[in-house]
Amino acid sequence: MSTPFQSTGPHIHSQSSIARTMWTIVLAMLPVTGAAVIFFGPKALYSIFGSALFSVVFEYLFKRDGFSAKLPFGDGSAFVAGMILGLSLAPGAAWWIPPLGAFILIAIGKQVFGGIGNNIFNPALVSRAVLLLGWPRYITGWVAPFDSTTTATPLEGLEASYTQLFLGNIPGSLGETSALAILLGAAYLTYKGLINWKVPVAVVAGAVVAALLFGLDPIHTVLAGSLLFGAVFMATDMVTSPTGKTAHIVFGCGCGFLTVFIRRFTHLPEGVTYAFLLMNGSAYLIDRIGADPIFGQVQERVRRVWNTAEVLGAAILIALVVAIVYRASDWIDARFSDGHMTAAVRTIYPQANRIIAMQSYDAAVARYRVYEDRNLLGLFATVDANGYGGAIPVWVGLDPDETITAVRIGPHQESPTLGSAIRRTDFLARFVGTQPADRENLPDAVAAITGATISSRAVIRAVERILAAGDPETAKQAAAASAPLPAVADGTYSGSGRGYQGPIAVSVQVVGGRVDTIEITNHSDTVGIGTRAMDAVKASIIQNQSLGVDAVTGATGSSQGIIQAVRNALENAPAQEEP
Amino acid sequence: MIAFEKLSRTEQVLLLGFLPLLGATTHLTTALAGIAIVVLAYYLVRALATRLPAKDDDSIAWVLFAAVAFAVAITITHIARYWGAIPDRAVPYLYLSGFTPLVFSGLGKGSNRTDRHTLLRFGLLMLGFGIAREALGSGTLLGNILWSHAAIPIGILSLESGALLLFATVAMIDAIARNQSKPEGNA
Repeated sequence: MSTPFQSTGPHIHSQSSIARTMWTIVLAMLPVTGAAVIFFGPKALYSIFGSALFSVVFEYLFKRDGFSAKLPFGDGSAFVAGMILGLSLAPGAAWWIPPLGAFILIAIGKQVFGGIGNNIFNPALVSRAVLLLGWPRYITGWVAPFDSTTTATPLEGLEASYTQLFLGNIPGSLGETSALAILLGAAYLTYKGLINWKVPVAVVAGAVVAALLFGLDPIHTVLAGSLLFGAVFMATDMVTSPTGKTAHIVFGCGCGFLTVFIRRFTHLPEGVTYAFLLMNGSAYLIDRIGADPIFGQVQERVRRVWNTAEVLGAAILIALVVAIVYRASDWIDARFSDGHMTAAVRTIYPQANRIIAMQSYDAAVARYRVYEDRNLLGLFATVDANGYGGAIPVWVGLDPDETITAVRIGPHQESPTLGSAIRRTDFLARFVGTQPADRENLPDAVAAITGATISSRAVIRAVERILAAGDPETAKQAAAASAPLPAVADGTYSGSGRGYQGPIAVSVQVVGGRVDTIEITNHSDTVGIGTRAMDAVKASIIQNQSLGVDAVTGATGSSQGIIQAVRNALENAPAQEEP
Repeated sequence: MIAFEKLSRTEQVLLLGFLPLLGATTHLTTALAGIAIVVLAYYLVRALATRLPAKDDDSIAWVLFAAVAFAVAITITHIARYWGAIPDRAVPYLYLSGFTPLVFSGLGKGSNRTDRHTLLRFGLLMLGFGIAREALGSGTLLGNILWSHAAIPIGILSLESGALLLFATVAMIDAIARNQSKPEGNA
């Protein structure tokens, strides 16, 4: 700073400084660090101090001020935040998680907000949330204490006695397992006057109330997971929690309650990260609600109550507006985004007004849940069958356990006689009642229509494919079987397609009605990945006698070029007579 | 880098406004839709704010602004979806980005908290993020293939956490650049 004093007097000198405070917190975290080393081995030291040191390095890169020969770690705040992040990692976290986490912690959690004192959210939690979103597999490597076998945590259903939970010889994050070590740290911080003991107690109280309300075991709720660790080292953070005493206690209660709420009502096993972040975000509002009146200002207190009521009222109104608009968006969705699909769905479910896409393991099959307002009417699936004259849209209605209730044929290019044949109600009625397990018997159960063999077989195959789309394995088989090569007379045909970097020309030899060899006569794709992919796709087409083969990952362009070229060659060939 | 400095340093709260857009700038098209939402909602909120009687405490007005911004966000998102340009995953983020203008205009007061060029800088920055994430994350630009699959794109960039990572990297490069250009003895 160029001006040494920017504040008015009095300037009282004191031993207290940011650096001193931060190193006291580091001392308070030593018991949990020790417990982590005892239970999970010396590798824990890398996670904990690695995160801390990497944080200091990134802090230095961002901001040289505050670092000197006397203070090689700067003001220590980066070290503390890094250490908290390290303690919240799983013992089996990958080696690159500490540096990555430290980078996110300093850059996103702290410096873009303006550095120490300006961050709205606890930087360690911001980093943990980003890691949880982006690399969940690498930070939740839970292992059992004393040996390193992979296991679940008590929050994920592992049985653990209260003594185990208290001492900490249970799987969990490095710093969260031992309640005893956390309490030792809390006692030291309280003795040093750095935290108000009422805040951690408020967190625990909030959690206990929530546990009793939601019918959970309160002692297990408090001791398992990182609630205690968060209560002592995160809820008491000076920057991201409210400043008023009453407000701080309200804040603590909220953290505890929300944590248990998230554990109970979402798919996340642990709620500390998001609960504390949400409360950080509302710290400003809580300060408005609960701030202690300045001496003698009774009016002020009355005004605060009104403020509280207003904030709550506004929150409820916003929730209502959002809910109404969200409903409206469903309505818009059903009418515009999937307009053509809605028309198809209504041929089977006339009263449908809402469809929601569901998982399909076959890229060609679209599957939807169909609703009338909130009532599930059934499922709807569609795929294009490869008919004699081109694609035939096949629409299938299924009940919720995937038994076929109706089959319809969409607009298609088949000749009038073939088209009317596959639209015959007695033919389509043969499919009703079929379940995914009966898929293989479908061709026998629903005999092809004489005189329209290709078209009707294509419809049967399409229905098979729809039944298979709910399972990844069967979906793959059905996709290969459903795009048979067009039946052509024997001979050698040439065709072309567009590869990744230019045209691909092929020469296809058909012997005895089967594709015998495929030769690539010209291409300009990458030698290596491109040519390997082309060879693989060629072999796959010949083996399956199908164009419904998978593209090679990393070379989709080349793969599709080959498929397109072979199709083009066979389309140029004289077709066999329709039997 | 001027844009970045102005936005992240002088208006720290704006960072919160970034968050939903970071989720939605996976592709250039969604980035453009996001910017359209921000700009339109911003001017609608401002127009509304100047017509409301000024009051000390405007919680109720804020709800009105939120409703306007949210309605704009939903409408534009669906118009964009009608052309099939918006991936499903980006939709909730685009809805949320309707709230960004409220952060801009000082929670709806419509005052001059942000200067005239903030919106322009913001838009440019978001466009940059959109281009970088689409090009590096999936190797395409507006859905057109940019380069060969041999140059493997950094797939993580097209995910939400990749956006934060890119944001952090830009912030860091910006900070280092300013540390180096800073004259001695003037902290």
